[in-house]
This record gives sequence, structure tokens and C-alpha cells, in this order.
Amino acid sequence: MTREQITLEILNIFSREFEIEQPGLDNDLRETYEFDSVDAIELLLGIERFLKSELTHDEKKMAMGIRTINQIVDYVEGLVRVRGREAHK
Amino acid sequence: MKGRRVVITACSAITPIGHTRAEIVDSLRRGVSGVKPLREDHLLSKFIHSQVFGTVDYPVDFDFRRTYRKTMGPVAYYACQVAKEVLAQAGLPPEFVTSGRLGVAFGSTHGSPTVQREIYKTFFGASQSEFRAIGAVDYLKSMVHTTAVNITKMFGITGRVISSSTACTTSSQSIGFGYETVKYGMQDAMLCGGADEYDTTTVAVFDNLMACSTAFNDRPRCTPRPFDRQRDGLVVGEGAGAVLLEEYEHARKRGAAILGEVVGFACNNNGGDLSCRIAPESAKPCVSASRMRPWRPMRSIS
Repeated sequence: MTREQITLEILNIFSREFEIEQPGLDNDLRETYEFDSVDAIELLLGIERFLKSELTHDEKKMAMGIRTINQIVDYVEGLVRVRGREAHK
Repeated sequence: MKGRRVVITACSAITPIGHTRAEIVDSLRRGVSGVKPLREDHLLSKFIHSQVFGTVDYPVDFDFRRTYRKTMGPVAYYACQVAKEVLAQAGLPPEFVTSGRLGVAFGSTHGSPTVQREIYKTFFGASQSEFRAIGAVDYLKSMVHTTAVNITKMFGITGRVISSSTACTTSSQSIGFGYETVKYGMQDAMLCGGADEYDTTTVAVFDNLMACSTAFNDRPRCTPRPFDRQRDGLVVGEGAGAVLLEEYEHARKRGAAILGEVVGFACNNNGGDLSCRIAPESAKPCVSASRMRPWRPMRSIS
């Protein structure tokens, strides 16, 4: 899965679930779009559906400091890498 | 303890007989009823003996931003709309609204049964993946105190929160406890009221207690009929109502329009039968405890 594919899906989630269209990739989501802790939990649910894989409690905790779209994409890339390594074991 | 005077400086309601004060008063004068036949819900309606419901059958323009809508079920929409109208009418300075000196006393029968049904459908569904689909906001939309919490969130109110959930007495308790909060100095103002959404679950639970009106299913406009010889029970309805209670001097100094004054409140229980319709042994002591003495002699209340 490429970074572009992940970015596109994250932007789709933001449009579909949060009614936020074309957010700046480095904008602070909380400051610019009032994206709060409740939205963050909903976003994690959307990422689980996208990856068709449940996130661990530690993976969810790692997400709590994220503030920008680019950081979300970095986070999802990390999740994909971990799942790829697990699949090859 | 004498306490401070508490006045009403704004009010709003969404009711089966109208939304604005002019509509509601006109409906009352013309004897318009907002009770309509119970809508088919393909779940409970065929089992319910009472086939009437107080229905809001006109559109309400909520116009809430997504950041507020996301934690709101239907009952919270009603609550936030009347809260919005009350705050606009009252004209409180924005810095007072968020100062911690304004609180909220607001409730509903049981939060949002519409959202609760969806959650329980998922709980009792066969698929584990569906279980994980219960979102973070589903509890916030459904919870018993969803009205009060959504009001505080929408307007940045940081004072006391009281969320009564006592069915038919929810709103009057909200006003009463809000009154006491202002009277005894814990807050300078309280936004008080109640709301409920359209749902057959609420009708079903009261119907099972044999508390609902069933004799006028063919003539919904003829029920409920409190104080009438032919009264036969309650009618469940949807909507919301809110008042702003404010300490008298605070209201006077800022030139607020004073619509009325709350002069007393008390609350008790018959300590026994949970569905008893008439409890005169509880009513008289309650009125006495409300300390309405300056306004009505106790002997005149029967």
C-alpha cells in the first residue's frame, strides 16, 4: 500500500465522517477544524475498517498525540508495516 | 435560610401545539390539540394499547455545526434548540455564559431511546465486527444526561450541571433544583428545562404500567384530559421547554426583561406505590414545604 493510497483514504474519511473537505496536510487539526478527542476515537475506528484489522490498545494510545493529516498518514504507514511483518512470520 | 429572589428572564418551547409563544398561546386559546395517532414503527406499536402521541409535526430549523451535531441524538437537538433560543432571548453577555456562574439543570425521560435501540441491536447482533462498530459518540448521544451535556458543550457553560431523569417530573424538578441553586447562591443563573424525542419505547413502558390513555384512540384530540371525570391516563409526547432563571438583582442591574418569579419549590415522594396516580397524602405536605405562604394561604389549597 502506498503513501498516496493511505493519504487518499484518510482524506475520504475526513470528508465522509467529519465533513472536513481538503484539510491542509500540516494544519493542526484541533486548532483549525475543532477536531477533538471524540473525533480521534472515531478516526481510529475508520482506520480499523480501512486496514480490516483491529488496533491494539498500545497502538491506539500512540495515536493520541497526533495533530496533522501527515502525522496520521505516517501513523497508518507504521501500522501497515507492522502488519506486513506479522503476515510474513 | 431566606435565600435570594429568583426570576425568569427568558423562555422557549418546541411543543406539539407550536414553537413560538404566539403559536402556543393561539393554539391554547383555540383549543388546538397536538395529540395525533401513534405512528407505526414496525416494532412496538402493534403491542401498545395507547395509540396516541403528542407529536411535533412541523419542521424545526436546527442549523447546528457538525462539531455539535456529532454527539446529539434527536432529544439533544430539541434541548439545544430551546437552550439556544433562551440564551438569545435573555441577552446574557457571552463572558457571563462561560464564567462558571451560569449552570444547567436539564433532563429527559431516558436520554435518546432512538440511539439506544441501535446500540442494543448491535449488542445482540451475531457479528463481532458489528459490535466494534459502536462508535465513541453513540454513548454520548444516547446517555441519560445527553441533553444537559450537549447544552454545556454547545454554549461553553461551565457552571453546575444537574440532570434529572424522573420521567414526567423531569422538567419541573429541573426548574425547582435550578431555582434552589440560584436562591442559595451557588449560581447566579440556571438554564433549566427538559426534552423528549418521539419514540414508542417510552409509550410502551408507561403502557405496561397501565398509566397511558387508551379510551380515545379514535379521537386523539380528546386526550389527555387532566381534572376531567373521563380522564384515563397520560399521553406521551415529544418536544422541549426551557427557562432561564436568574438572581433578581443580577437581572435588574442588567436591565433584563423579567417574565415572572419563582417563589417556591419542594419535592417529595409517597415512599411506596410507584405507579399510584393520586397521592393526596404527599401533595399537601409538598405544597406546604414549598413555602408559598406569602402568596396563597395554606387552607385554600385542597
